[in-house]
Amino acid sequence: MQDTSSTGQLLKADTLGESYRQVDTSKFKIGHELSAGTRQSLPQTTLPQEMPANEREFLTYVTRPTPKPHRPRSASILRPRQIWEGTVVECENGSFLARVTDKTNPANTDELVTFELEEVSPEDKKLVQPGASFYWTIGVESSPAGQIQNIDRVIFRRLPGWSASSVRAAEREAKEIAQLLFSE
Amino acid sequence: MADYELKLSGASVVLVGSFNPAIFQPEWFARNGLLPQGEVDSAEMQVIHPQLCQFETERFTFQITTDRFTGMTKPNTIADPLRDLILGTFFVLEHTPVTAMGMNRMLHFAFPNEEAWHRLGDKLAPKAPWKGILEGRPGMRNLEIITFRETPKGSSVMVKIQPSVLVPLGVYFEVNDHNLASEGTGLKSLMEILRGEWESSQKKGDEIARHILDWAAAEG
Repeated sequence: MQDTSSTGQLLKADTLGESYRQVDTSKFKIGHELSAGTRQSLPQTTLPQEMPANEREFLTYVTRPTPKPHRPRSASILRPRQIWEGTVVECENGSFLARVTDKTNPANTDELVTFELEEVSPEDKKLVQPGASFYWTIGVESSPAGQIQNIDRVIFRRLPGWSASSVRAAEREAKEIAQLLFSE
Repeated sequence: MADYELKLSGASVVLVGSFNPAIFQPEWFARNGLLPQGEVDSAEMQVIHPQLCQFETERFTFQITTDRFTGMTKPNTIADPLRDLILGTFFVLEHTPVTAMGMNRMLHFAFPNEEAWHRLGDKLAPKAPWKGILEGRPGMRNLEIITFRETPKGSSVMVKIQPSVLVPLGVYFEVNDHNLASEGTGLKSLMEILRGEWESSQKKGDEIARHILDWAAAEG
């Protein structure tokens, strides 16, 4: 069987910097008798542009602080506390309204949250438009020096548009369906 | 409730097929709108060779050989952007011949004391059978369990459990959700699985690890 596991044929961890992957367990054994010490665009508009007004009535509006955009240092480690997936509902005057779904506690209901555009990295700003989706993470980041920092990060999803062959395939399928529907 | 703590976690996607490593340079990802230019500009290029390309960005590590594509998250970063990136990459390279895909979850847990750490090894791999035949003090170094699923055809789940090499008094779990490409549709079928099953696969990986840890911590 082909090996699609992560450690199968990868290079050693020391060539990958701060890797968390397991590479060599030769010095480690678990067992009671081991003595101590030896352990060593898909379309970005995936939702309707306009949210139905009646749907909006049932969602809670949340007011939130506006932290500065944050770019983590490569050696720091993030411990996410909560992750949401959001979809931009509308944009106006340097902010945007988004519907967010709690991925950490899926039982929670969706909420409407206003984000300031300045929270979004310059490269992601062009992606902010109704229907665009993003990940919103709140967590704690620890630096190699032990500094702890609360972080609040908005990262927009980057998915490509339709390829020419996908469009052709969709058109073919549409024609076939149309023929089935209107053949009589 | 068992007394253990998740210290490090990550996810990876491994594709087996035929790849051209020279394509997969950071700038290519930026050109196709798959990674922000800033992340690409600060990427650390480790190897560029016709047979191998390896680099890491703020959020991801990539290693591509002629027969294997591996994309991996950095420790404790959220896993879903990796799925998006792989989907985007092979949306652009839609004719890449790919035969199998692994969705992997990697977890390092720490135990509060050595007794709890040894208990896991003793319960998973009892030492009694080895008494009288092995000298010294045998210990568990690697355990792999695999189960084959009926659907999708050819799919399986393999769990590796090892002592953690990164976390003191720690244990490492790796859950490999292995899927074979359907005949005819190849890459497309695997990308559909990635799109639809990624989140549940990652969640299942967490559940398996915690199930084993809770079971080991229980009396009896």
